[in-house]
Amino acid sequence: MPGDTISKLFKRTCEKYWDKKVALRYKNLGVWQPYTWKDWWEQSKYFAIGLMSLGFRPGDRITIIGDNEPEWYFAQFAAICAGGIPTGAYQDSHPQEIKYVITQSGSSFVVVEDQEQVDKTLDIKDEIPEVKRVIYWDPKGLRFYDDPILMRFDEVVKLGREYENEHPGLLEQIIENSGAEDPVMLTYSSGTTGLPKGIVHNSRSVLAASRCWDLPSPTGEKDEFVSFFPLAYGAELLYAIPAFVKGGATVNFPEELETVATDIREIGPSKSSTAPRLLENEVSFVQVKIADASFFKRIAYQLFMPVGYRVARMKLRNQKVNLFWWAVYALGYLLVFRPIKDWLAYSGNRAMLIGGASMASEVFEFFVALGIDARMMYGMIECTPTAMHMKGDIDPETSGVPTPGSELRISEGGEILSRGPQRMLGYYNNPEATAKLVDEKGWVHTSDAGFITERGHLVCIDRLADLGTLADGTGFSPSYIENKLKFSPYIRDAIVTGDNREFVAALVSIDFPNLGKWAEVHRIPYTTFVDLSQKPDVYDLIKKDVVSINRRLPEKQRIRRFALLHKELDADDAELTRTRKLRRKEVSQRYHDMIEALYSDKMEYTAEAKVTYRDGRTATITTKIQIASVEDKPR
Amino acid sequence: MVSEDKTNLRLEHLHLNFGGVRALVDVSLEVKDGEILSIIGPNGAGKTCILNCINGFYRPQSGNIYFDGGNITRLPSHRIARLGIARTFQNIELFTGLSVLDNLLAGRHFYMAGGLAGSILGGIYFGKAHKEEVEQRRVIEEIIDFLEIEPIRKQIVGTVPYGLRKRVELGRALALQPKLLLMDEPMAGMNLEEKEDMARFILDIYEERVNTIVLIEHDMGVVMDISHRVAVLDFGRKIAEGTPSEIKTNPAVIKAYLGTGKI
Repeated sequence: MPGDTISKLFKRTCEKYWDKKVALRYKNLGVWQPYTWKDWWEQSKYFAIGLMSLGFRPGDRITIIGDNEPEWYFAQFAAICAGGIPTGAYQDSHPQEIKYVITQSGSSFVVVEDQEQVDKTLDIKDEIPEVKRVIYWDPKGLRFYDDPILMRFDEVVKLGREYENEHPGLLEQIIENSGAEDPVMLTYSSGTTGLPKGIVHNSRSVLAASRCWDLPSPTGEKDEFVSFFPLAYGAELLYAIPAFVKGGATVNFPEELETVATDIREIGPSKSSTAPRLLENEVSFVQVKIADASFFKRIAYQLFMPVGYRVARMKLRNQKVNLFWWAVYALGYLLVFRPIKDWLAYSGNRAMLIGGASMASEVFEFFVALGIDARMMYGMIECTPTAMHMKGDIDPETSGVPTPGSELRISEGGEILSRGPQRMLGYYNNPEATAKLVDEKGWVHTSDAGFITERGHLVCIDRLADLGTLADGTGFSPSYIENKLKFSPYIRDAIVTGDNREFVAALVSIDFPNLGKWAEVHRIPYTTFVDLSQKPDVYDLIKKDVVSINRRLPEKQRIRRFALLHKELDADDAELTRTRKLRRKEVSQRYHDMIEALYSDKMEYTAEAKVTYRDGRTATITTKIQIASVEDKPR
Repeated sequence: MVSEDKTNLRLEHLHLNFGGVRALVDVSLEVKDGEILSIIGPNGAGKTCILNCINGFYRPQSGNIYFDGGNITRLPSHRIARLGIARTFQNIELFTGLSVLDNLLAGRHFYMAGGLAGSILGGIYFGKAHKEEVEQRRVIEEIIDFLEIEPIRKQIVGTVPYGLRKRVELGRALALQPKLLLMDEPMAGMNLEEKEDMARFILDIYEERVNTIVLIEHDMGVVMDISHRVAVLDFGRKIAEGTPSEIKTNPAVIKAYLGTGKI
């Protein structure tokens, strides 16, 4: 059947637009460098044939490690077109993490970006004997590397061109024979619990997922998208790429991770796929910048933002916005909302899809107030999206209704079960884990606790295992409270505890740049992260935020004690996943003593923290940490 | 790679005095084509004086300096720069009020046609100047890419943090496309991570761009790791010269650094 696989779709679109339209754009040497569909096709095709001449066979896996650059896409589509399965490792992974992905997937080729990744891969070379070649695309600093396993990306492409002369039509034949059930992607779960598991999707499930993703606003030729979320995460291939390939949109790659904010503004993407954490950061950014702005801007913001929220709530409740509020909102849009949208690079935005963990409704409403068509989406990479906000049926407290073709139900234990055509094929080489996730009737057991509202909307409360119960039997959701905390511009991360305890307590990690700015404005001298986090004034400031959050929480769930962490939570220390999700178990083990101190009557705690540098060395830091009590007696 | 027979830079019996202070005493030194040579020594040993003599800031009272076979001892600084000797400074000498891009472009001025007539003509006909600007910008952008300073390319240098300013200054030296690069304490005041980055950049520069580098550095770990040869100065005299392993065990060097134990 034509168009039923990713590779067929890709070939069709490439032939349709050929050199008439830009497919990819990469900012390099300060200029956006365009690649047409022809360029993409040729790079992927000859790279694929080059790999085949080196021994790649249909069904083989390749591991790609690098920043979001065109070569990532080239290699990924080369593998798919050649009937293989691409997978990725995060560019900031340790050598051992990379080894896990390469050996678990049994990759025969590793495609990496630069010297840094080459060095890491060569470090573990003896432990990955299956790998035939390590191919790199940025040769800087690699001139004198003479390991025979290394090869340049363009050399492989050249090999492919030569091999094609002897075997014409080789790749086209494979694409023609591809079937909807053939696996096309392998991605590793972020590993919030235990070792990452390889998730395999085929063309059928990927296309089903991307059809759902495309619901709010179908992707067309004029659409622009910016690719900056780590490609190893897999979400991009799952939802977005098939939609672009189908619609003929353009994907843009920023110059460096540090320049994403400015590059994305230059593009003004029309579609964005984002995560709660990024949006939380954006709200903090706006709040801090406004506090810094001139008098008139501050006044305008304070005057119109409540109007924005009011109109946003009216819209969300499908109430008619009367002429008066419309007029005030329009003025606010001109003076406040449009400039903010421009700064956050949402000027051209037609649809914003928010996937991932739950989010504070305040954040969601902020973006609706700006006039953005924001939608929440629920699902785990294994089967996603199974719920989504549909037009005119949006509730910031929920994740929306089941997507077309999907079913949702809540088990007796309160677990969310989902079923749909976008379900994965299974875990790679791990039938036990697959059987644990998917039951005989095809229901995916998500391990998320949730319920379905009267409107038929799904509400995801928290991970089932994370739900806590206080000593007196009151249930509470740590991540719900954490999300409220993280809405404060001065709080970057928080860990809420209280399971089998007398009360709820929190470890808070400050937002260093924002709080640093605040300290400067208030003339509070500080030296380092540790120093700033332990200032009494900082404690007072955070306490104010905690008190105001407590007011919005049921009495028993209020935070009674908290401490400010002396370091940022970091994926290198295994405290967060590479996608910056909290690894609750690891964190509570690591800060076990500090958490105990929260529940004692001590007002100070001496912490010893182990830090792991990226090259694997470790160091120990000793710090005195204050503990604050929050005495908001119930009124 | 080091070529044993070809000499890139040769200092012969340099003497440099400031009034009664003898800054350099009979210093002879050869830098071979394709090597990284480090000059080490305690504070005030005369390390920077050597660099200042090489690129014409100081005139030695006697002795000669040869570069690429020609005598450059009495040449003015700009002529020496044009011959292909670029340097960075201990205390960063950039135009703090200009952007990073403009600072780097300043390093390209030898390669611009310009001139008075050109500037006047440029006011009437933009084509040539425009083309030149694009050409030079391309060279600069390659350096920006090489040194990974894309995020700050449009920032005013005065607002850029110290570690990055060091990199910008290095970029300006590279903009000259030199044959010999002199670096005066490229890692002073940096933390461990910044030092590692800088060491990697120096090695990358050596591999890709400039094949002869003279380095003054206090961080022994770095010096021993990346240099082919090391020269040691003490009170204006060269007391030792050799491979890093030879220098580590040289008794004169140990004495200069650690003292003799007598008070």
